[in-house]
Amino acid sequence: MAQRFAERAVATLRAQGAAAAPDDDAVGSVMIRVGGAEDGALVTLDRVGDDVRAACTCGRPGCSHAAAALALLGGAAPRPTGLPPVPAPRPTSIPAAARVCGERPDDATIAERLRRLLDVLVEDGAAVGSERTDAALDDLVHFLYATDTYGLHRVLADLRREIGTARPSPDRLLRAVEMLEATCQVLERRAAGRPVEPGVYELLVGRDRPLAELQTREDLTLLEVARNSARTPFGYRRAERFLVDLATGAHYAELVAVPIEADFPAGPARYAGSVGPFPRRVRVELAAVEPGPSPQRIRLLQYHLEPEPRPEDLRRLASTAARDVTALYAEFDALAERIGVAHPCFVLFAPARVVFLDGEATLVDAEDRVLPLARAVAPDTCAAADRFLARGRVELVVGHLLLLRRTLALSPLSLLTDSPRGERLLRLR
Amino acid sequence: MTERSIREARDAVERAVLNGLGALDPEHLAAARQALGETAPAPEAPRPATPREATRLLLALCGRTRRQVQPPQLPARDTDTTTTLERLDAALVGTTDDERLAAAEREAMRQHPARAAERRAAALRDPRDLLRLITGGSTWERRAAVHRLEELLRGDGRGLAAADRKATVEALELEREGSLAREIDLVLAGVSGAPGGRARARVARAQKLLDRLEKDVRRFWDGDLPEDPVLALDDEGLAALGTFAADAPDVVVGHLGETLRRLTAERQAATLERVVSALALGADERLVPSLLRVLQDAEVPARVHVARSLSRVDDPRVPAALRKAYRHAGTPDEQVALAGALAAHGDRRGVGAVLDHLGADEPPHVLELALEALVAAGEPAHAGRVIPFLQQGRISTARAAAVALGAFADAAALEALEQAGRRPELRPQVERSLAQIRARLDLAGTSPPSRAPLAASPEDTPRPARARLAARVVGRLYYALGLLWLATGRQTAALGAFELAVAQHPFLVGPRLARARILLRRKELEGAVESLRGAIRVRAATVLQLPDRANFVIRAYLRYADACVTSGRHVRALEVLDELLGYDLRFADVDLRLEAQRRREFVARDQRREE
Repeated sequence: MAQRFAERAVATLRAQGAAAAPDDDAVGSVMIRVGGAEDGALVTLDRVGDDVRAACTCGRPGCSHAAAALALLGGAAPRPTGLPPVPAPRPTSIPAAARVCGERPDDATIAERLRRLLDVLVEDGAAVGSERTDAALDDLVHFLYATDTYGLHRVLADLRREIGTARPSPDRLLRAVEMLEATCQVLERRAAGRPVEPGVYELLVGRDRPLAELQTREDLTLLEVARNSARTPFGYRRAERFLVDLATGAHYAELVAVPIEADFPAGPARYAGSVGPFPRRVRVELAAVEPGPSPQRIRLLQYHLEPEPRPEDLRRLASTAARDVTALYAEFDALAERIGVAHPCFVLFAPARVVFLDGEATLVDAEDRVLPLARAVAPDTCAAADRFLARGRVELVVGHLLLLRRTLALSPLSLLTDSPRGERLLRLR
Repeated sequence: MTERSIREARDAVERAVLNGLGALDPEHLAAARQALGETAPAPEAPRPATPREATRLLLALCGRTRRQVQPPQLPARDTDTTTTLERLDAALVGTTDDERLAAAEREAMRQHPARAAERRAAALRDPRDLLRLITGGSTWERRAAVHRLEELLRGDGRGLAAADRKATVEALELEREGSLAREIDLVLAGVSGAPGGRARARVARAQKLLDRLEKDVRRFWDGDLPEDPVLALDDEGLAALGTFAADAPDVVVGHLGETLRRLTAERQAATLERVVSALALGADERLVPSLLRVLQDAEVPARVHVARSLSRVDDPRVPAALRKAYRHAGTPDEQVALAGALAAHGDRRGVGAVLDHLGADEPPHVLELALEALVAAGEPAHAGRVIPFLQQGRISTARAAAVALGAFADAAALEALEQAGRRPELRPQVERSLAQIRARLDLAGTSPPSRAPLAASPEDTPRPARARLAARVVGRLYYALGLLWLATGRQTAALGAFELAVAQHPFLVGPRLARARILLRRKELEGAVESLRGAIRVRAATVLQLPDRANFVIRAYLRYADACVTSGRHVRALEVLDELLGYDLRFADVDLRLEAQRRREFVARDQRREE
């Protein structure tokens, strides 16, 4: 029979020279990760006075994760089969080739391949296209398949989509090339051991960091304000949930790579994400935050949720929003200056009014400065926003600021509207 | 360097990146370098650009010009009616290919059939014309007409004479079909009279379910309820939730969306299909993001159900997502379902694919999906392709053909439909299709050539001969006796009395229904269904035009079908469900009707798999 995990853990600690301390009070909390990315969760046991509080990140009492933790701590007899007490993984086999792709390539290798793509792209012309360009792009996509370079994936997916359309948009092609060049420069600098502005690597390359390297946050009250998701050619769906700290107004983004291909490796290192309906109010007892520009990536480790925001939460949310278009421009510029390239900037904007022309909405601040919706990028989402905006008073628009040629435009993700049913957060994506 | 020269240098580099490095001549390269203050103008020939340098210059020059971007000011109010957003955009950012493409996309959205339907309904003043539109129009026209009629009926019904109002309400109740049933119920619930009372009862029943579900959802997320309350619903409850999702509070819809997300991510195909199929009558716009995700990530059966649901959702996010899904459709089922959904949104790119699958040699389920798609995609010229399927032995195919013809055919299909109506199992659907075509012809001002009701064919099961008065009296006495036994709990004696009552007075429906209830309680399902079948045969209207009785019939048939499936008799289950769906179920609750259709689809699929 295979040795149990707890026994192996004890043996490992002993091998490192540790001896059991008699002082049990020294232990404040224990965290146990159970399962993989698909169905995994973190079970946390906290000492609260004389009691112990147990919570699981899946949010459900009596779940299988807690049962596995209980078994680990000796709450159940060792199972005769020797099987690990975790839920069964998805019945999908990972081909060896995909597993090789899933390994973490180093920055120098990625930079080299990315530079190769950029060279071909510029030599042949991004808008002209060529077999060489397609091959280089496919090669890089294949190389980065199932890796954790989420920031780079986003740009490559945009570029691939744009090149694949019948009439690629020159503006979007140029934005993608700019972004790839900025990313490549960051990778090359890192590979050469030169310093990189804090947060830039995290945003442009976007690799996962080990949990131990992240900053922890405790006792946050977060309100989920928007979601975004898109299929990528890297074997996963990029699912993002945007959260606002009701106390400080800080923005966070929870990024989850949801497997969509059977060969996508669902390793335990991948963050499986939190659960809950939209919109939700999350009482976070423990979270891990990655360094980087706003919205910082967050992993919710221990939390309770309420499936509906309270009216005062929505008022508080509205009070944290920018009301001046100039302030949004400044925010966008600050981010672009920091990372060296125009990058989509997550914002909350409370317009003074909405002007409709031909049934299409444009957001206007108190000084009559205009923030158009990014209709060229997301016509369907903007048209859905028009409908909601026309129905009731809008308090807040949540979205990404994008540079479209010579102006900034807002690609909306959600709206806070005042309707006969009260104030409501409505998802657009 | 002036701003202008920087802009020119940037434009040159952008052109080079887009069109190839050969497009960057040395002068522009030098100017770009100079714009960034890198080199002074050199007397010798400038170095040629490398790709690396081009992208570096692009990044640097775009950074320089980005800083000059300023927020635009709203133009002074232009009272000219020709002011458009395109003009505003052009003033702000200049018109480019992107804007032109977006403008084309916006134009397509404006031409959505729902807008045309709204205009058509708004132009109608006569409630009879609106009722005709509700009978014979497309999904969008029917919906627009109901909303228009609601305006006429609102309050004390100003604008409508009392007689007109009563007739309108009664006629409207008969139109409670499919996706429109909920909306008609909401309209009727606001009027007085029996139809209003029935509608209020149905709305209240749905509201009760939603209230309970709201509490359960909160308890679930508080950790007090272990099982997902949506998945814990039985099939009937799930159908009710799907039907009335638009009336559900945000917390319930949010939870439903989260359940769909989780089931998709966890690849729980069967459970996902069960939930999504309950949304077949259309979904609330709050669910659109979740449904689009299912459309992109789920297995084919769930995607087919989502396409069906989205075909009835008037939301700008839907057509683009359907187009994308159609491009990637891999199986005929999916392709046909998506083509139908696209056609419902005014995009006819898939009509050819639908017609390609309209052949007798196609698998029946694909053929039926193609016929279903023709409801939105068909036009009178296609009637000739569909009419032969009215003669199909497979009743579900013949019924689908009748539905399709009702949706798009013209007077040329009337004769074929009238002939098909001689098949008793097809008659309710054929009558409905004939009414649809005639309503369209009336609206168009063309007098339909035939208005004769469908005559019973000689093949119909003959009704029992009318009994003598004495026998009828004895029959009623036995019925009363049976009720007495039943009240005292003596079911066997009651059954005997009811059988004697039927023997004496074959037209008495009460004993047959009472017998069916007893047999159902005893789990003698076949006997119960047989008893109901007899009751419907002798007096269909008495059984099926009372909502409670119609609901009882559906539940009994569904239980029997379930029992057949459990014992592996899929063919029998399909026969039973086809028989049920052949009845005129307009007075039954819409969610129960949906449940019967869903069950038939699942049983048919199980049978296919078995084969």
